[in-house]
Amino acid sequence: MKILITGASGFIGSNLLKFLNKKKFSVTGLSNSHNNNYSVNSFSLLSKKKINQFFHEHDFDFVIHLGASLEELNSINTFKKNCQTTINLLNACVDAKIKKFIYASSHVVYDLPNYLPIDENHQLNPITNYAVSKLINENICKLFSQYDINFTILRISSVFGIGQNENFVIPTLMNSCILRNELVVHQYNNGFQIMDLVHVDDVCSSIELACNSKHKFGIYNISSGKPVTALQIAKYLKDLSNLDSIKIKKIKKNTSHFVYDISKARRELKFKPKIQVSKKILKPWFDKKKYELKN
Amino acid sequence: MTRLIIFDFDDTITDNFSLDFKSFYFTCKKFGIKSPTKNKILKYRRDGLLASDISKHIVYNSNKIDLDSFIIHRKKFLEKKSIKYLKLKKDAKKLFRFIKTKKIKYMICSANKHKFIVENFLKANKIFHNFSKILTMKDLGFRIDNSSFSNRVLIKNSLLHNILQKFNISSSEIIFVGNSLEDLQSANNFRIPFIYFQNYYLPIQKKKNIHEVNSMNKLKETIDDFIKK
Repeated sequence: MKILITGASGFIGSNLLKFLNKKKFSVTGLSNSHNNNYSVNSFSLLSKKKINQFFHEHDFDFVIHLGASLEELNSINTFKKNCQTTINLLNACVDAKIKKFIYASSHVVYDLPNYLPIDENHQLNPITNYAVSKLINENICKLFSQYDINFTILRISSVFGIGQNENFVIPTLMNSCILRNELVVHQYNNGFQIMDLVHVDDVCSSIELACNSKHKFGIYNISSGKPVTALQIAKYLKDLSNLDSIKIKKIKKNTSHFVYDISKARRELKFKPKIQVSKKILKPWFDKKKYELKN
Repeated sequence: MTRLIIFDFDDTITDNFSLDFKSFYFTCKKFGIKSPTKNKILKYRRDGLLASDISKHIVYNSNKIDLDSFIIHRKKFLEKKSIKYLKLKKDAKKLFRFIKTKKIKYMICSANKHKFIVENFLKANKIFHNFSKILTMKDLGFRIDNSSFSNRVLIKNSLLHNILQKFNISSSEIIFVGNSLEDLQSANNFRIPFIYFQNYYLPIQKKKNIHEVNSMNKLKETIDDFIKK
């Protein structure tokens, strides 16, 4: 089975490449940015000619489309980079008679929850360029489902794992803990924010399961299904770092809580998340970060 | 056609004032401070104060004790003594018997995080088995602070969504009986017909299309009108 992964140098992409290689799949990576990974090809999906040539050279069975731009300053650029590329890729897939297309969408298509846990039928209300482009791409996939390609769309919640971007909650708390010897957690008027984080390895396994799905078109939430608060994460880090206390900063506004319903993915994809945020999971990550930051 | 009636629990089918007052009375007694009178608590509630706000008033006036400890002790009292001091509203059993004769299912939907309190209360009053289902925050599978209004709306929304899915029922086939603004807001979100049961708390500003009752007998008449429609 030959698989193409776009966005292969990103956080999920690079982990997925390793994950599928270990499982003996024949995997080819594609990325917009240059990188040192020998198995990742580098060119822009905006070039139809290059895509067609690339598909001609490789005989892919499956395409996993992870590539996306997070740019928020220029809407036109974001839509061009995220949506035009998807159309180009899908046209190449139709020509190359690809059997399966997996699109990594995001929980951001929902925005604020009306109810919890958020299921796939929840109202969609994307409010950033990135989120809008994710929803447009879901609809582009729907449009292309008239061709002989099976589509699986995964609405992935906030991902965590070693190597993730520093802006996310766990690395931010770790950095603060190691560099400033303090743990600050926000307490809003309606309590500590409830988040539903999913480990990158579980995301990889959900993508592998999606490859085996026989459904013509399906949209699935992918998360841990086990919500956690920033305070709980801070408590784990406090134990790991031997800090005396956690500072609670009161924020005089409400926050939104996020918990996702993954029963459809459990039922149809047989998805079973295995990794939760815990002290055991955070320890090697925390030790690595500590080593990197102190040396 | 009405197929299901959803009842909120606290202060809708129960009378909570005695429990509310005693929770402050005994907590104050434990800390050795003067408790507000029944009328004072009633006034606080009518002014729209939440339990946490009333606790703040008591603690700040006393200048002796820590607010968090006061709140924790009051919560412990509520967990232990709810069943003792909660009362079933007058004529509630008569209402449930009436609904049963109409062959309509009825259930509890409560933002209360302690399902055992709701269940034990219903068992103590010998009405537990009459209810088709009892849904509380516990059934959502996660815990969320229910002391803020926005969270309470989210909890009620989540429970109502859960009911619509599980019972495979449309919102027009349901009547929701509640006593608070969050109940009203959640019912409106799902377009579920709503009956507002007045209580000693802050009254909802009167709006068009709100069916308002102040007794179980009046509620029975209103439900009967709904069924006949």
